[in-house]
Amino acid sequence: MSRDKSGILDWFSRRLNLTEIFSLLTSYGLFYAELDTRKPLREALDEALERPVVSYGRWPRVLGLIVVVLIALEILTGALLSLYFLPTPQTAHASLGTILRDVDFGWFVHQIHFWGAQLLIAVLIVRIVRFFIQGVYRKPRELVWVFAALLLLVCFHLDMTGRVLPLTETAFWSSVRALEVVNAVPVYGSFMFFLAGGGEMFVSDLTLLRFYILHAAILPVLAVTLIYLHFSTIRRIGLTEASGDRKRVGRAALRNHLVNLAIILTLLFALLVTLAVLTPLPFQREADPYATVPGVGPPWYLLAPFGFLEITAGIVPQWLAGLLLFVVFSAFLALPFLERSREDRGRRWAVPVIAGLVVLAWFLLTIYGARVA
Amino acid sequence: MPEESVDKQLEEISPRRRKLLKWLTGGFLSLWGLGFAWVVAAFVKPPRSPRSLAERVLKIGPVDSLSVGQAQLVRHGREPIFVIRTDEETLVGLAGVCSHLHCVLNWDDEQQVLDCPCHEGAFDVNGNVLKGPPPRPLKRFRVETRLGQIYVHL
Repeated sequence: MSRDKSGILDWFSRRLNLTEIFSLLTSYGLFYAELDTRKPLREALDEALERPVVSYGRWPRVLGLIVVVLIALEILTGALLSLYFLPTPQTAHASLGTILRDVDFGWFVHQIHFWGAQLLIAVLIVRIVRFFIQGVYRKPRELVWVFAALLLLVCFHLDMTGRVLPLTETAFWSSVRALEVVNAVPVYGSFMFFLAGGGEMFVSDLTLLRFYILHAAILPVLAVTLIYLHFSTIRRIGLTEASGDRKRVGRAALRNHLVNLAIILTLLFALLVTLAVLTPLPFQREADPYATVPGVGPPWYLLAPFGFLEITAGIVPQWLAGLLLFVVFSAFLALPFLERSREDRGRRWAVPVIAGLVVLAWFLLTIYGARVA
Repeated sequence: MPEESVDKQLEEISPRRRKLLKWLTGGFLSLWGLGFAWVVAAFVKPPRSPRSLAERVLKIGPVDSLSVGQAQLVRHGREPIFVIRTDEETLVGLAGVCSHLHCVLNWDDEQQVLDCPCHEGAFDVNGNVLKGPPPRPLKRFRVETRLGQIYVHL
């Protein structure tokens, strides 16, 4: 393919380091090969395409791509919703009413934002489980795990802070339940409580604005940074290779990959539209802080710690139960480093067995938590 | 690990078929992009009518308070409206903002015109431009009297 040297790309590349910019984009899942940023874009790309790449627009690596796509979708729909949403206790519920009733496609954007978030968390959980099963936390992939785990935790917080914003009955009481769990965990709990500015009910007038700022500004920046770091480590170390993988070589590899991306986008969008239309999040009336609504539990991903706190309520003091939760979450984050120290003593089985038990317990507690709530 | 050259794979596809596939993919993605852009644009556009009828109709006051040849400036949010009584029967609702540079107009009792204080533009009682720089006539609002009260439909 010979192209005119005076093309628009060349005009820009004489004035900007396009390779560096493109290389930055590759950290968000577009194309993962490392580029030589000192060379012009076309040359660097040619060079990168000569190297064989594992096609990663396919199972199971596709999960990472889906995460990026979903976060991009959340940012877009979130930016749209923020054009109408008024984050004060007096106006929040009514402004969501405006979005749902009066704004064209308002219900659609809102439902996509909600279901996209649920799907994002589900995909992140499936992804971390896959990392665990396939050992994508052992040397040299410790940071892959840590960033993925942090991203999951940040997305939990994104969902929790976003959930309360409309101030509907379920939103409000579900957030109170969630903050009960958060509050039980030592150090972290008191920090979040301090940040939320909550009073007796956990959710005060200040909480809404603070959660809004966390949800719309601080946490998204954190999430995007974590994705960058996460993909950067993968780019540096390389993807894991399973025996059935085929490597792809040649100029068309990128195009092939982009076609895969388009297919994923289409399927994902179809799924989201189906969920948004068939199982929409109902628009309930505004929450009354003086009338507890029975039967409202925490968000689905917090059901397990909620159930755990309920089970242990009569048996051990709450601080002990909270401390245990703290230990579990810390171990979850520090998993790669835990195993390495065990390995030396020749007990490789310990971490998988303990972690497997924790996952099983988590699953059972989720069922219990759902029944209690 | 087996390696496969994607380029070789592509060569096996006939040029006609490749062209068709390219066209189909492009067409699909463009349609999708258009739909996407449409949803975003429709969402960003502020909703045209306020929610309820009560919010769409503005009560001004009794008809008797406005004698023939007089006008009243109605303050409504950021959108001033002039209600002019041209004769016994007729009430006219006009935007109170000049179509030139958004200066608020003044009612001239003697000449029966709306004057713009900024660039000497003027409008007649039907909102047509009489002189000056305004490029468009004034936006009109439907005015109604019910039980002796004046209502403006926004």
